[in-house]
Amino acid sequence: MTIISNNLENNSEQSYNLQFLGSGKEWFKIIIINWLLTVLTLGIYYPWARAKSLRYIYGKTVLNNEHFHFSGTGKEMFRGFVKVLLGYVLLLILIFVISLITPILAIIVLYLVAFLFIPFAIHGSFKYKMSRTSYRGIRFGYRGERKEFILNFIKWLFLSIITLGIYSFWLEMNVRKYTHENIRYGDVEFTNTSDGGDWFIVMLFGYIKTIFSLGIYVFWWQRDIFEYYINNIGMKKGDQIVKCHSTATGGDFFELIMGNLFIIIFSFGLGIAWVDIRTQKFIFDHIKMEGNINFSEISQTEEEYKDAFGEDAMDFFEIEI
Amino acid sequence: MKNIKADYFDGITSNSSLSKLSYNKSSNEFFIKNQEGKSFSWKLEDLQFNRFENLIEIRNEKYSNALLKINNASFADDFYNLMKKNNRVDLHSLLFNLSFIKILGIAIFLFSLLGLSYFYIIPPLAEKSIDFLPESFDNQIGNTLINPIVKHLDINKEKTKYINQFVSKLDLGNSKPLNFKVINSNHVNAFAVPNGEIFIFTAILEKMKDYDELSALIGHEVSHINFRHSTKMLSSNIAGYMLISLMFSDINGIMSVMLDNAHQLNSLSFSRKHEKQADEEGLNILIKNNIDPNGMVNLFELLKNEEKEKFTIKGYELIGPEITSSHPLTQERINNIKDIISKSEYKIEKNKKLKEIFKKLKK
Repeated sequence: MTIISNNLENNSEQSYNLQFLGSGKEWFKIIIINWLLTVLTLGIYYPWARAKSLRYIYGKTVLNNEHFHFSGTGKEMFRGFVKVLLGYVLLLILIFVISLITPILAIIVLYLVAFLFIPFAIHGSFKYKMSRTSYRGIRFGYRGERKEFILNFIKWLFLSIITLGIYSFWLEMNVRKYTHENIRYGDVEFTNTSDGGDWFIVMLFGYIKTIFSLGIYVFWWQRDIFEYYINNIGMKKGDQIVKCHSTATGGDFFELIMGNLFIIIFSFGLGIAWVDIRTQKFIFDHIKMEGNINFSEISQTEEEYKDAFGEDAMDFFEIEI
Repeated sequence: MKNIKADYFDGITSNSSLSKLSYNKSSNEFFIKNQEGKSFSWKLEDLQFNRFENLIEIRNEKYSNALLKINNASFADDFYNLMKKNNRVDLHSLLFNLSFIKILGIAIFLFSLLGLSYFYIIPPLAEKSIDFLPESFDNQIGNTLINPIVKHLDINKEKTKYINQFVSKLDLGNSKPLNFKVINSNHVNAFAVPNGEIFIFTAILEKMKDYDELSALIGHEVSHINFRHSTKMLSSNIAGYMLISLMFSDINGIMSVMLDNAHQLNSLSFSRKHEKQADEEGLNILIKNNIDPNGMVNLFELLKNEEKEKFTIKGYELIGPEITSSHPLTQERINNIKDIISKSEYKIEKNKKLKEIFKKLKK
């Protein structure tokens, strides 16, 4: 079934139906097969397992009856993985050699490299993941500049350090804003209106209310955080726009979090697959998109890109965005 | 497979067009004809696909963005079988078609394999593997552990001299030089460091009634060093962690906390095993030196009621196998010793020199 909607008016309101169709049972199968093959190959299969997981999650994400697609392969990620591993080994050797001369310098170098590595990995991950994501045959892309982003990141990090961490709220939102605003889907641009000051207030009030409610507010705090993340995301194409907003309530979060805890504890951790899927479904079920961009009228603009360095780097050091 | 309806996305715009798809068996090609009557072909060997029940998405490696979407139950089966026959379905996808129960079986098998190797295969292997590590490795760990602490310890020089005299009269079966130190402290304790340093606290000396108890304490601590317990512990801990991280590299926070705790519990039982071995080997040292093995029993009886809190020196938790604290002296350990003594042959010779030095240590 296809809807060909060329005839629709440019500015007419579109309806968007975002869904996640994954099932716990299938996800469990994927996790176990990944596990089996990774163990049998003494870990070498790991990048292929990552690719399988991502392909499942993306493929089960559906907007208006069309599936998203992750086209990254295990082979690409394996190459990235080897690069990261080599880099890591070289770094350890370097640190070891420096530590023989002056231990203090070794520590400084280690921190410096670690800090520099974070923006490097964020950039690489966005670049790779976006280039491997497509929808209706149109690629996503990431237009961020590595050098610019790293320099900005260092500046934000420096401000965070000298303000004893207070600026870290701005850092977090600046990173979100920069990365999101550089995402393209064909000729659609993503927008992000996050602001460190607003975010600081959300986190501060959430913290205070949670303390004064003896922890009960934590579910509403989660709602506020989710709402802040989602409500600031949008898209634009010329004068057409899409706005996202959260429909999740504190009660919904209570149900999600308590349910997840319950599943994990009573399944001795085996229910993790169902928890993942429940959470993913929850997220997509509580994002409402409104606007007038017609996703069947998008043109390919993003060039192909081949480098899986960041993707593995992110994974290797377990950085979550 | 002939004239199957498909949606075709050309990878240039996001619009789709209705197309017809036919398969040519002899050339292993799919022919696609779109609404405008244009047609082209895709070779089977270039195809990749995703299956969502009755929905098949076909992509071509040569034109990575173009996409054919077919929603047709019988086509989905036929296409899948065709790809399978041509070895275009990878192992992961083949396994994915197994029933949930079979996958659950694999999961249970993997868990048992993990458990088996974690409890029965890894620890002995790890213990054996330290034979390849030179003794200098133990010295290095010992130094790393003790150097930051040693400056906070109040060493009693006089008693340290006596204790080393005392030890020189004993055959401890040690393979590396040992260095005993007496520490002024009101904690009843003693501990051994893998580099051969053994620290005995004045408070424990004060509690002792005779030199056989001191010999028992020395025997116990020396056995920890002789049998390289710290290095074995380290090796088995690392091996255990490696196994866990290999098996659960993709696991989330809660699971990893659960696993960490299980791991710690296990290494605690591992160290209990070492304590038992140190008791037994310490006993052998007493018997070899013709000292009353009941000294070990007496030592444990007098330590039994000691405080069991974990104590620290200037923020450093005590390291190395110790005589009290983390491994309380259970009645079980005492009974074990009594049991061995009753089955052993031994002779006791009064050792005046040891008695003399012991008296000086008690002062």
